[in-house]
Formats: sequence, structure tokens, C-alpha cells
Amino acid sequence: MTSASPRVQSSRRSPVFSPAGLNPSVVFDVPAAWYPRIYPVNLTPYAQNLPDGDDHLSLRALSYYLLPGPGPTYSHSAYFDPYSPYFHLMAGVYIVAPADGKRAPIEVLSALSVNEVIGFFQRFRDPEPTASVGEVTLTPTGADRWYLEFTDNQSHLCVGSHMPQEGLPTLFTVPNKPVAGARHWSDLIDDYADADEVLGFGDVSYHNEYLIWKWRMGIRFVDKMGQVHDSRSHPHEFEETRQIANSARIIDRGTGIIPPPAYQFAGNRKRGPQ
Amino acid sequence: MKTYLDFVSDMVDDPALFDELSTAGPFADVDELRSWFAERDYQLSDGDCEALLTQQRLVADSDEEFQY
Repeated sequence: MTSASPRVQSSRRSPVFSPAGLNPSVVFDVPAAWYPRIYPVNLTPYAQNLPDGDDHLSLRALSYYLLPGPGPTYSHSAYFDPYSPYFHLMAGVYIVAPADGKRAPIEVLSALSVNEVIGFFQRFRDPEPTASVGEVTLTPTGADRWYLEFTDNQSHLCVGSHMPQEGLPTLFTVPNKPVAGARHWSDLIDDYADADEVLGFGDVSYHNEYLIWKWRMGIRFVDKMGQVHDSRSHPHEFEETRQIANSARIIDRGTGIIPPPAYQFAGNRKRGPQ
Repeated sequence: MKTYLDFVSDMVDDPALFDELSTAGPFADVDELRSWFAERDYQLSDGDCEALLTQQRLVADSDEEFQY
């Protein structure tokens, strides 16, 4: 169950470091409303048999991401609060290692992100996790630099009645039933409801042959009353995702990629539509 | 004397600084934290100290691990 509130008081953007022992490491500048801790994920299980033209690639990769901090009346991240302008805002960086001396192609990022999102939903016990990327737009922005945007993406919303109530950090532990005297996500949206639109985009580059995607995401959804909610309608909060993603500084020791241990999911790990 | 932001910039170019900081803690208090940075010619503001000690506390909290 939830323990002490992880709420943190701060009045500015602060550099936050990724956990020790991993490589490459990363530093983000984190606004006060965001939780000042970087979460690493081993993406290697999600980076197997990724389509690459007529072939498939299996790669080693890791992700670092940040979540919005808790709201005023609860201790979980506002990421899970559909009443909050921070609902389903997230920012981070993908780091994909070269394979056989060759850079990973940018094209693998769509399938990799779909696989990861499905894994994230599985962790929150969505009985039918779904995610897909619609249109992929890659725009050159400089030498070895691009802007990658996924549009027409489909996904569920990551709140539902099966969400674990134990065994997760406080920031990720969301009441799965209404709490007396407090508004609850289920008043606004259904279990693991479909999003109307998932926003995913960010700058792509290579750093010491690592493929780097400084990504950010937002959401558009329609609530039970038919009202539309869109992350872009909250420009201050939405802009913070850009600031976070773009602030990522990669620190490579030249040791090769060292991701965190892979999570041993109790069920079958599913791969998303390719 | 250089600032904390200088330290962050220097760390990107010199990963050993990152690793030194990672293994130096946990710092018991602001004085110990300031002393560690001062030995390396960096000066921390009150806000820097608050942010660093907060991060240290969060990282030390085993409840905070999350994988999927």
C-alpha cells in the first residue's frame, strides 16, 4: 500500500542524475512539478526481432524516463490523474546500442516503443493491452539529427480497476476503487479506456554510435461526459515535457551498454503490432 | 570557484566525476555535501544542496524501484 507521500518541494529546475552502475548515464533538468528521480528500464526484451525493412534486428537498449510529481491530494504521480493537466505526460530518452559495429536504424523506434508501451500496460494489469503507431514522420534537422513524430497512434489509457495496490513504488500506486471524499479516475473514464490520440515525438541523434531518441508524450481523450481533454490545451505543462527531453545529456564511459536487470514479468510478454 | 551547473557540464565530459559522486554518498548533511564539492572547486547554493539531498534520499529508498 502507499506509504509516506513522496511529494517534494522545490522551486526550480534541477539537474537529476540517472542511477549509478548503468551505461550510458543521463542527466535531465527537471522542473519542480516533476518527480526528481529518473527511472531506468531495460528495453532489450522489447528490442527483439524488430522489423527493419525485409529483415529483423535484435538489439540491446535502455530507457530513462521521468514522471510528473504527485498532486495536492494524493501520493501517486499526476500521470495517473485524468483530472490533472499532467495526465499521461511523460518524457525520457531511448538509448539503443549499435549491433555488430553498426548503428541501429531509426526505423526500429516505432516497434520498440509499441512493445515498451504494451509492457508498461501489462505491469498495470491491463487485461488487453494495446498500442500501435500510426504514421511515422522523420524530418532531418541537421547533420545526423532528425525530429521523429508518431501520429494517429492508438493505445489504452493507463488506469484501471486491476492496477496493483501493493508491490509498486508509491508514485505508481493508484487507488483502483473510489476513495470517500476524493475524486477518482473512474468518475471520469472507464477501465483502461481507449485514448482518442496518443502524442509521441522528439529529437533523434547518434551519440558515440548509440541511437538516441529524446522523446516526450501526451494524450487526448474523451471522458464519460463527452468532454475532450488534450495535453496540448495545457501549454505550460506540455512545454515542460519538451524542456525535460531536450535537456538530456548522455554520459558514455565507453564500456558498452549496461542496462538495469530485465524485469521478469509473471505472464507472457506480448509484442505489439509491428 | 565553479558552480553546480559547471559541475554538471564537466561531468558530461568526464564520466569519472559522475561515478565519484555516485559512490561518494550518502552525504550526512549539507556541510558534508558542500565540503565534497568544495574539495573539487565547486560551490553549491542552498537550492543545489536541497536538490541533491532530495535525490540522494529518493535513490536510497528501495521502495522506489520500478521495472517492467
